[in-house]
Order: sequence, then structure tokens, then C-alpha cells
Amino acid sequence: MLRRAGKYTGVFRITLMNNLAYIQDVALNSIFMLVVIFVFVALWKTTYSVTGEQSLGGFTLQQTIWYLVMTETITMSSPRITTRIDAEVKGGDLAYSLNRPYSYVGFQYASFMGEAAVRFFINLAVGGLVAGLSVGFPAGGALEAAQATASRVTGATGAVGVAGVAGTAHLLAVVSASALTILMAMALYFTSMMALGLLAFWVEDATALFLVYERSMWILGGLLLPLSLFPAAIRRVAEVLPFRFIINGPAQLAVKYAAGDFWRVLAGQATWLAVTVVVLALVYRAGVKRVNINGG
Amino acid sequence: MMKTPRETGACAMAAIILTDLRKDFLAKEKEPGLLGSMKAAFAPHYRKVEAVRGISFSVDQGEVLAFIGPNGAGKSTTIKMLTGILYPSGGDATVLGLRPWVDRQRLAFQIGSVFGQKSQLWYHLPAADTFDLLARVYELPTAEYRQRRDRMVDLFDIGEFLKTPVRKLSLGQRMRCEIAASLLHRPSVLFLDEPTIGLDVVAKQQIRDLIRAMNREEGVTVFLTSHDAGDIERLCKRVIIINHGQVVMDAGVNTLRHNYLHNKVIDLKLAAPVADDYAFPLAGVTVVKARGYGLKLEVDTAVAPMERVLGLVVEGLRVADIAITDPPVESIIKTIYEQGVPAELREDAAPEAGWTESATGDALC
Amino acid sequence: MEVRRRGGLRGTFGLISAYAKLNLSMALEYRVSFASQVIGMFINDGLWLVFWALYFTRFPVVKGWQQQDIFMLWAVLTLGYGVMMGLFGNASRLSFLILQGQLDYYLVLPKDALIHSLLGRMYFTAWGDGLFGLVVFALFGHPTPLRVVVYLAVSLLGGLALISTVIIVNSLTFFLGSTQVLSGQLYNTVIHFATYPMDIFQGVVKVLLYTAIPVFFVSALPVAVLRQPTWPALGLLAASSFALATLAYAMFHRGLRRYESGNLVNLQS
Repeated sequence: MLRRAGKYTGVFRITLMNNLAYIQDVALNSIFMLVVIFVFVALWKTTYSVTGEQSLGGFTLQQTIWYLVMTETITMSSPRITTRIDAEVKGGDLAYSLNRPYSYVGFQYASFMGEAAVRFFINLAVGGLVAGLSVGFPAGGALEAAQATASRVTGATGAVGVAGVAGTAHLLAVVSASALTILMAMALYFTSMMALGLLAFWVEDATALFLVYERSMWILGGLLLPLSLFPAAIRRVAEVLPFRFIINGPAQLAVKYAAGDFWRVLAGQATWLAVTVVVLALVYRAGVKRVNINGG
Repeated sequence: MMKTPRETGACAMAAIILTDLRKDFLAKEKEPGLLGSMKAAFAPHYRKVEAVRGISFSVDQGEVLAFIGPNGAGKSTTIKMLTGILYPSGGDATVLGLRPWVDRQRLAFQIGSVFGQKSQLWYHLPAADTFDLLARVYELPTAEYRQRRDRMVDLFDIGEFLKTPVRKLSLGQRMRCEIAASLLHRPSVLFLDEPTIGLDVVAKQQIRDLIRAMNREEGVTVFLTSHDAGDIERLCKRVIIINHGQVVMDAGVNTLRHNYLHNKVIDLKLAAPVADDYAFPLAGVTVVKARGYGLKLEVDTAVAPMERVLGLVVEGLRVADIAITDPPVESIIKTIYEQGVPAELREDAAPEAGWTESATGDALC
Repeated sequence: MEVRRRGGLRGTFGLISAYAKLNLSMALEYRVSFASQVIGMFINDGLWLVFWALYFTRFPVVKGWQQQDIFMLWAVLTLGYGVMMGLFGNASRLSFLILQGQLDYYLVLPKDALIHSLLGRMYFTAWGDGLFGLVVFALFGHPTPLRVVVYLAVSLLGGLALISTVIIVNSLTFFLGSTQVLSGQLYNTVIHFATYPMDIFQGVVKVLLYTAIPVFFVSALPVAVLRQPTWPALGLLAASSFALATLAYAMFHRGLRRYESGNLVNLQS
């Protein structure tokens, strides 16, 4: 069991190393992250100053920007596997991997995560830097809020030590909740995209389908705009779809953590992940059968 | 067919002239590893590489010249300067009286070029479609183009697969289409960079025959690079050998054959194992390798005629398979260095080129 | 041989149509792919407008920009991009072609090497963008004969500015070596900035958008002219677009002197 898992961590490690070796390219690629966050800062600074409001859809300016840093980091760090899988199905790489001693899907997932890990931290650093320099870093704010809560609980006097502990605990909760939901989000992203890529067994060119899925995910998942700013009707549609669990859910938790939200997001992610895993398994099995029929 | 001036006129004019032509490249150097990558990103370190170090010679109109040398000798760089793709770092060259990198577009109408490793044909479309495009690019009047195309199709025997997407052609078929395409606009000079690379023996011979036919019938000057000694022997009258960016030898093929191409390699597969210390019973034949069922012989045909060697082989050994090949260019160059400069080569060589002092001096060390 | 020369504009249009014919044949070889990509791009652009529609439902006017204005921005930008990238698709691949030595083939052909290089591949997904622009303008642009003419003119001029910028960014490879990733990022940057109203930017960035990342000429000025057509504004747009094109042409040809035809790779072994 452990040895079987070992080969996938091996794949994860080698993709990680490979991406670290091309760290210059990965870093250059984050120029776009910089531009995107910069443009968002300009757009939302203008929007907040024009409306004169402190909070829009329950978000302050700082929260909106950091929310967008998170959503962009999640989407930009996820490797675009649909085209890769599509090419491997058509080029026969998948067929050749069938007699190898590993699962094709497991292999792809390990290499997906290896690439995503490097990109995630660079994108977060670049986006976070732009956001922090223009609207301030949120950690201070979170800590203050925690201290305020702590001092209310313990009374006004001599609460510095307790507040420090409570603040740290809060920060820990935010970070671990974010990390867990982001991992789940990426698994959801991977399984659905992988299933789409495998459609190459049946469809000559699924570019249009990929684009529709991806762009729907962006818009309805809250990549560019928090769901709370959507008109009510569209918001209701977005809430029943899986997309918000990939983008909006983890991002909102990172900037506005609430324990109740965390469990709701996690439950939603787990449910949808169960669905996508089943779909992926069915699609993969059906596809592999076609390889056998065609004689590889 | 209408005769062009160069076909009727006396062909003593030089079509291509190179004078001390040079090309340097800057190669970025990087230490291995991540640290090396980072260093190279901030303070790149360059090394000057002299790909072509002062080459001079000329090619007459109607001549077929082979330009040979091992990989990285500067062949392609030279041919790219002569077709206007690269700017030289020094020296001068003219093709049909034009300086290629200055008058590139004017020259383009008068030269054809085929780069063996880079296709000019549209990969997903039939060759006929690329031909039509080239007719527009070279501004050929429709009637004239059709006539020319039909002749090329005929000559190169490509009618059968002219309407097949290029990706479905064999390499030999594709190369025939490539050369036909480069001749559509009736160029006076044809540049061929490794035209036979990767082809099998039959396809190679076909390509060689076609090039020779075009040269004879239309008087096209042909400048070809190769590292296949077979191309030289069967196609050219004159050979220039370059190595490390310098001309090593400029001579007629007859001289070359007489002096350096008299060695042949015989590869044998035997039906019974051969002794490790096997010796061939004839002077002029050396055993290169003898192991198990394989035997490799090198024959100096000046000493041991091929006929006799083969006779002895068949008599004394149980042969399962046999292949006779030319030695690779690298070994010819090695022989040239080892044997020095035979006196007769100097007379044979083109007057303005031939042996250069530096070629023997520098390259040897 | 007597060669009939057709230079100038007529020759260039002849060449474009010859290349278009081949590219179209190729698209038809893979017609499902072609259709899929065109439709895909159409939908992609549409979803951006959905974002803006959502945004403007919440905030109807921002710095004088309304939904109508941003829709016109997209109509102009996508048509310009569609036509230019549709015809000169290799522009965004120039860096790659230079580095790989793949310009060789275009360089031995008569006529301008830049034109050949650009025409070598037409970018089919861009046709979807162009179509999208036309549809958006037809639906939201209040088309009158005058407005149609102005729309087409500003889109093409903006597109010329865009493609020139793309050529300049990619020609950096001649001078700086492997800039494929950098060129790609700069290209994305220009396009990304171009899809937002310029009035939200201030300070140094605004200066950059007039100069180093000439987004002003790619989208802001064309949209301003469409909103309120005046001769001086149109003249400024035309002049700046042609100036950028001239700069791109000069930079490419200057760079050709340093073209290494992929030899670098061979020598490093």
C-alpha cells in the first residue's frame, strides 16, 4: 500500500523539481498575475470611491482585493490539463501507459499537483505583494479582530497574553481551513477537467467545450466578482453549481473566515468530489475500452 | 523550351563568389544546476563561436559543387549566408552579382533553396497547394506556371501523390516535391542543404539523378551540402571540404576519389562465427572488427581491387548478408590530415581557393 | 526568365488571398476543430461581457463608463484583434519562430520577409473574436451607416496598433535571446489592460499605457473616436497606428541582421 503510494509521491516530486528548474519561466509567468491584480486594484479602488461605501456585498476594499488574489491564485496555478490529456489520448500516450504499473489518472494527478504547488506559492507571493502594497496586508487586521474578541471575553485588563494566544489560534484556523479547502478545490478542478479531457476519445475537437466549462467556472464560481455582488437570480443559480466550491468557497474563507462557512464549504466540496470521481471513473473506463477496440 | 542566356552563353562566369566570408555567434554559457541558471539570468556569460572563419572560393555558372564537412563544420551557416538568411560578421559574397543579405528579395527570384531538415511544403495540405502559393509568391503568369509545374511533375514523377497531404508522404517522395517546388520559378542557382539526409539508398539515388538531370538540361548551378560521400561521388565534379569553419580542401571529385575515396567498408554478417584473430588473406584489406557472426573490413581499392576481395570473401566465408559503404566524411578528413598535401591537388584546385595555409596550420592542432 | 513584378498594395493583397486560400484549405481539413475553436472563442468573449453586465447591474456608472461603453470597447477590440490575428496569426509566435530558426523559409522567398512570416499561419480562433465584435456592435452599437463606417475604421486602426505592438514585443527576441515567455506575458498584459476602461488607471501606469504598453491606441482612443467621431481624433488614431506599424517593421528588419537561424542550439552541444 505504502509502496504503491510511493510512486505517485515520486511523480509529484519530480514534477515539482522540474518546475523549480524552470523557476525563471514560472516567475516570468507570474507577471500576468501582477498585471491582473494591479488592474483589479485600480478597478475596485475606483468602484469603492465612486460609490462612497465602506463595504460592498459584505466586503471591504481590502477584503475584495485579497479575495481576488485568492481566486486568481487558485485558477492560475491549476495547470490546464484538458489540452494535455486531449493530446495524450489522440497521440496514443495514454494507450501506451495502460500496460505500465501505475494508474494513468493517479499519475496525472501527482504531476498536476507537483506543477500546481510551485505555481501556487509564486502566484500567491506576487499577487499578495501587489495587494499588500496597495491596500495593506490582512494578517494585521485578522489579528486585531481576534484580539478584540479575546479582550471582550477576558475583560479589559491584562488580556494581552490571552489575546495573543487566541489570535494565533484564529490565524491557525484560517490557514488550515484555507489549505484544506484549497486542496479539495484543486481535486475538484482536476477530476472535472480530466473527465473533460478524456472526451477526446469520442470528440474530434473539444476546445469549445473546454472553454465553455472553464469560463462558466470563472464567472459563476466568482473569479472576478464575489458571489455576494451578483444579482439575486444569478446568485441562486451559482449556489447550486459546483463551481463556487472550486473558487469562491476557499477564497472567501481565506479573507472572511467563519467556522460555519468552513463546514458548509467542505461538505459541498466533498459531495461534488464524490460526483466528479464517479463520473471520471466511468468516462475513463469507457474510454479505455475504446482503446482496446481500436487496437491501441 | 526557351533557352535562357546562361544555357546558350559560354559558362565561364562565376555564379557565386565568396571572399574571406566570416560568421561569429555569441553562445550563452551557463553552469549546470539551479544556481547556474540564476547566475546566467543576471550576469550572462557569452563565448564567441567562430562558425565560419574566412572562406574564399568561387563557383562557375552551371557547375555542381559539393560542400561537405562533418556536423558543425559551418556548412549550413555558409549556405544560409549565401541565401540571405544570415548576415555575415565579415568578408563578402555575391550570388549572381548580388550581395545576398542586402538584395535578398531581388536575389530570391533567381535562386531556389531546399533545406533538408526544414520543409517548405505545408504539412497538412497536398504539395499542389504549396505549388500554387509559390506561383503567387514568385509572381509567375498562370499559363507559364502550369506548363512549368506539369514539366516538373513529369520529371520528378510526383503526379501520383501531388494531391495527397504532405504528412502522408514518405521522406523520399516529400524530398522530390521539395526540390520540384524550389525549381518552379526557374532559378539559376539551386542551394540544397543535406538533400539526401535520412533517405534510403534507392531514394538517395533518385534524388541524385534528378539533380544531375536538372543541371544538364537547364544549366542550373547547384550548390549542395552533404556529409554523405556517396552524394559527392555520384553528383559532383568538384568538392570543397570544410572543417571548423575553414576550407580544408578544394578539388575535383576525380582527385578526391583517387586520393581519398579509394577506401571502402565491407560489412558482413556470417552464417558461422569468425575467429577473433581472423586475418584477411590479401594485402590492402584490414580487419576493423571481427566478433561472432559480424566482420567488418576496410578495403584500399588502389591496392586490393574490389573484385578480388569479393571473390575471396565468397570463397573463404559463409556470407549471410553483405553491405559495401563509403567511409564517413570524418574519416576522409582524418586521412587528409594524416597524409598531408599531395602536390597534384594544388593544380587540380580552383585557382583562387585550394589549400590555404591556415587550413592546414590551425586545423591540425 | 521574364518575371512580371506586382509590387505594392495589389501584390500584397494578392499574397494575402493566396495565403488565406491555403489556410482555409487547412482549416477545412480539420473542420470540426475549426468550428469548435471559433465557437469557443465566441463564447469566451461573451462570458466577459456577462461579467461586465453583472458589474454594471450593481454599479451603473463608474468614472463616466456605462455598460454600453464597455460593450463597445469589446466590439472594437475583438474585431480589430480578430481581423489582425486572423490574418497575421504568426505575430504572436514570432519569438518562437526566431528562436527556432524557422524564419529561414520566409527569408528565402521574394517580397517582404515580415509579411510572409506573419501570413504563414492564420489564427482561426481569432475569427470567432472578429465575429463576436460584429455581433456585439450590431446588437448594442446603434448602427447607422456613419457609425458602421467609423466602427470598422477605428477597429482596424486599433487592431493595427495591437498587432504592431505584438510584433515589437516579439522582435525583442532578436536582441535579448530567449524571450518567449516574456514576450508572451507582455502580449497578455497589453490585451488585458486593453479590455478595461483606461480611466480607472492613474499616475505612472497611465503614462505607461500611453507609451511602453500602448493600450491607449489599441482600445481607449478607438472607443473614444467611436463615441464622438471628430477628424482630429481619427487623424491622431491613424497617425499613431501607422507610426507603431512603422516602428514594428523597422525593429523586425533591424533584428534580422542578428538572426541566428537556430545555429546557437547546434553549437551548444
